[in-house]
Amino acid sequence: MHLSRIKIKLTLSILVFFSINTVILAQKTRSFVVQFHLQYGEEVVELETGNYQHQQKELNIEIFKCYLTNFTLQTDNKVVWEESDSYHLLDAEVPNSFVLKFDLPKKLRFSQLHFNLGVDSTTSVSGAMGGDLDPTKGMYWTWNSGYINFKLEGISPLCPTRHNRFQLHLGGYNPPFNALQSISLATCSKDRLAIFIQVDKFLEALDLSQQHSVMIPSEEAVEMARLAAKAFVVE
Amino acid sequence: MYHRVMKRIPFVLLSFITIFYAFTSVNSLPFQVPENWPEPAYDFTKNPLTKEKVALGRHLFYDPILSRDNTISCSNCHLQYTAFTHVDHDLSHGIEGRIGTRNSPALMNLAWGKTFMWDGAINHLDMQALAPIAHPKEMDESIDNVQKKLAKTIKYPLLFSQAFGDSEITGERILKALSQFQLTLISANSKYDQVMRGDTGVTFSEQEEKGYQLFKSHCNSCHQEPLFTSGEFANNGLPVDTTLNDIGRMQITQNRSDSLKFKIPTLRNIEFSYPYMHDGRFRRLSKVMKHYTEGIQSGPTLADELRKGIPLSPEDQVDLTAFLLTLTDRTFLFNPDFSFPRN
Repeated sequence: MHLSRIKIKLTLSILVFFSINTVILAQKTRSFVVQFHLQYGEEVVELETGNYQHQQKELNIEIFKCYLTNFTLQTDNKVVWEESDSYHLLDAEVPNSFVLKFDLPKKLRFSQLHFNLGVDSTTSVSGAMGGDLDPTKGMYWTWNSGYINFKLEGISPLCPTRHNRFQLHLGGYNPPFNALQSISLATCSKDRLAIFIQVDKFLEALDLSQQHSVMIPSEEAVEMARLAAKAFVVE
Repeated sequence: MYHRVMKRIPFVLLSFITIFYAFTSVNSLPFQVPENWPEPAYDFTKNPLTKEKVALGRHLFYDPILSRDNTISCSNCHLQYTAFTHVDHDLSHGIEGRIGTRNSPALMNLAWGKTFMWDGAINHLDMQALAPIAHPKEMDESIDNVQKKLAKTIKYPLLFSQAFGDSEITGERILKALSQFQLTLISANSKYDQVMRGDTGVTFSEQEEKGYQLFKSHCNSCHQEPLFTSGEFANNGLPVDTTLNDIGRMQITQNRSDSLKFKIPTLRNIEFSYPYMHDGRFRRLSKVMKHYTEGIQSGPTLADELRKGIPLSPEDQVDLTAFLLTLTDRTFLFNPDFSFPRN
């Protein structure tokens, strides 16, 4: 009986020790929340129902999806933290996908958030992937291999296409048409960062009467991807 | 009492572990590289073969549920008895009688493939199935919808569960299972292989041996042994079929130097994989011989090896054909593990 008491005490002590450790460890990390906002000028983009003014004509947005990958935090151009398996699909139809939460060491100091717009070439040649990279997400080309990095579809009377639809599928991982873009944004807060994706800024840089249908990796797609990356801004 | 209980704990734990292992263990299938073959290109560490995943892939391969109207399966254009290609059809057929623009390729030894399709559009075996599933002239379906249809069946959640440990059906799992079945399609037991291995009592006839020597001097630079393809792309001097105007590899790379180049196909099981070429224009091997001896059309991207044509006398052509017939592998063509799954 005496022996059993000792064993119970020992078990309890071990449990308490591990619980305390877990609490201490939990306190050492904190969250950094990155919230993306899909904007047309000052307005929040609403798929299909929203009407926006583009060159004095009404414009609708039907689909917005993009891959944001390889998130790192930097200070003085040095990487101080990187997310593992860092692949995120932002889909305007799934509001939750616009909020990313990173668990960071509590005392981490950083001044810049860095990520890629698109999926890197190694991942693009590594076969079937799951999660956000699952091909059922509608962001994998089928006639060709590789992910679509940025997909924007909508309607503008400027487009001389069927139903005036523009379809911009920007991707490609193979040089010379590697569309992957890197984005660096300054962050003052250590808790949260709001990033605005200014669709108007991207579309204003295009001539929709000419540039309305991009479906293959090409020079045009790479150029548009550069413009798309510039649409990611912080206030 | 307490001590007795304590003593039993290790045994109880061991039993639990054994039972747990029995229910969760999978029957791994080691991938056998045939003797003197190169290492495969496929990375098996990312998708290790198991009996259950191969079985699932086999069910998917033979199931028309992959097509929009549930009428066409992979096996419609890739029949086992004809080396997993569509015999007699120059161009591949899809749902509603739609006809594509290329000849369906024979499927075998895919673990050694670096790129797929006649133009190399696909960079990984896992992703290959997406192309025929989505092509409007083939299955005209989306992987997203295939996933939803499979989830509604009685059979598939169970098969996925056996293969992956739970019944969740994802695009990744569908594609990896399809890869697994296709990776098992190894053809390495033709008469040629038996001669090379030194199997007792198997030798080339005099004619086959002459053909083999001709093959080595005229064909081997592109159709390299033992896979009988280098996996590269070449313009073999076919005149452009103006009803198709297919520019081949250039369509993918947009590079002029790739114009009219197509994937060099394997010659294994060539006896059964007719019609030949990317558009299935030649129904007989004799026509293929005729093309290489007198039909090559010159052009800026023509393969250097073919600039002067291949000088083969009519006797040479017969000898070479005799050798090519030694590439027929009946154990592959009639392997019951590759046929329609009966259960």
